[in-house]
Amino acid sequence: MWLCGLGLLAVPPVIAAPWSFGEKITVAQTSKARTFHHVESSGRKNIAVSGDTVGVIWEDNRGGVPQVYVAFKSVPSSAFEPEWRVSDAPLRAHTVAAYEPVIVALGGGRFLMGWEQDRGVWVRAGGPKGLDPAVKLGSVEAGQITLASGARGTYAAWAQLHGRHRQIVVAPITIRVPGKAVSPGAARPTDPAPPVAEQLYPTLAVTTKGVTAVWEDRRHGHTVLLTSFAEHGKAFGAPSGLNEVVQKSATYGRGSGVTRATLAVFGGDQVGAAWMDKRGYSTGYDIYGAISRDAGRRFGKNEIVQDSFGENFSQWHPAICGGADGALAVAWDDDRDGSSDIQLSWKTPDGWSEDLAVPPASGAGQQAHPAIAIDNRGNLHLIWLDYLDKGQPTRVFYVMGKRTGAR
Amino acid sequence: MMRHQKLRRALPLFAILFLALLPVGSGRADSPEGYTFLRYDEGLRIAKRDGKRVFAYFGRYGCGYCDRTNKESFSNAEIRKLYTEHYVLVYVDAESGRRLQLPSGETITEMELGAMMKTLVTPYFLYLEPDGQVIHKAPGFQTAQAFLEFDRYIHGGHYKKQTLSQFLGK
Repeated sequence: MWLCGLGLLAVPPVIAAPWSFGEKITVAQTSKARTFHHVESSGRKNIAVSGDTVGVIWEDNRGGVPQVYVAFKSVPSSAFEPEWRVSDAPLRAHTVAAYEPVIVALGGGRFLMGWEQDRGVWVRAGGPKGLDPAVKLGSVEAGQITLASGARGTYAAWAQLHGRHRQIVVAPITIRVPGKAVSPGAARPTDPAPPVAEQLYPTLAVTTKGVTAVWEDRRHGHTVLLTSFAEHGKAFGAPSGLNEVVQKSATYGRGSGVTRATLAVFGGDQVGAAWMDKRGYSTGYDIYGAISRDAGRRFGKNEIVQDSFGENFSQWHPAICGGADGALAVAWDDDRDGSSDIQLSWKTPDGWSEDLAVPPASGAGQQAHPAIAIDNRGNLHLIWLDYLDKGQPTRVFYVMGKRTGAR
Repeated sequence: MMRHQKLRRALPLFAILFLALLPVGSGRADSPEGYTFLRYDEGLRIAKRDGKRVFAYFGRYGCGYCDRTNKESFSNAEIRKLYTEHYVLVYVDAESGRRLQLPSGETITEMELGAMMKTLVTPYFLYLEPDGQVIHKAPGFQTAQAFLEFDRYIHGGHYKKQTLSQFLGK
């Protein structure tokens, strides 16, 4: 009896996950040597679900030069359709590297895609039937584009040169009928004051009240996350800090590291944020988050997302997604089980759940760089990068987590 | 042929000049003063060409212990002399989105290089073979004495037969 009790203690706790994951599906793979896929974007928005269509965007160098590709499938389908090359707009585009693509849903099976190429950022709409003409945003050197859409509009944010530093700007994007290029509005800075240091890696959330931006800012001599809010059609207000700054030494340095924030709207007009945070002392980055209950104007206190076991390991590549039903989930990768796996945590009434190593995205080999989205039925869609070891061939996999009754 | 040799000799100078001309806003964290740190990919190319080992410094903008290492350890004149002579010095801002090309041909950001190398903390120091293979990792603040011992261990080739602890008699 006593031994039986000990045996039970050794079994990991069963988590009543809100999603039940099915079989993984290949999005992209190659047997060609020296070809590498990347699922990487500012805000980590590399998957979206529009109506009944899943869209996945990534970059790979199959032709020798990194280019951006998108693939679609209907939610019930067991395979993705052949991909489209997205980054074909500039002159001799196949010779000009394209990076850090992003995709958001526009509804009705259509999507907006953004990417970086030829020292600028580009957007185009499209879906399984084809891609509309691409449009370059801004007229100066730019990169690190991110997108967000909501009931009251679609927006792009990016980092562009302003004097000696990059500045985060946001522009509304008007979507036109299929076949026509989208129409970008005037870009406005997320901080009314001119940049005095680098502003990097923006992420956006669009609520019914307006647009929330979060970005990395180096004005204080170390990186902090700043956030600012604009009502639809209006300018952004003065920014405020998102992460709580921990100064580890009274003599050296100015604060702990924070990087790669991501935002999502959930449960109507609430906004969730997640980021990598080095306030801990010896185990690298942890995943921290914060919640806004007032449509993205202000965020509450910082919360640690991963569970106490995960705190002993370094977390990388956080992605966040939210559902209309109030679900909010964060995925990332860490190697607590000996190799990199995709971990998932979700917001519960009692705080963040224990971490779940997503069944088809964990185990032997390396699974990293997740991106996630929740559809209007509450199902969670996940993609990740799979490889045996660094320098080995890469693949992009997808799995859907069907909504269960659990919270 | 002569022209090619001259060009090859001049390339590091061009690289240094190029780095010096980068806008302040390129997002680099601080490497120690008085040293010539190159980009990771540029450094690896030079190391392979010259058969020289690489000393890689992974830092972070605003990193307190990088600041301390710079002031307390890299200010040491002997370290400056030995490390400049013995290694190709490369600096990586472990939170930067600046892109570099690995010997495999893969293009990644400096931050992804840090993730790939599992640099949990900053500063994080790596000693590499000329082909990029990792010889030794030294995470966190290191004293001047430690850097001198690492140099004797690495530059003397002792790592090929002994662990660092064996070499130091610990």
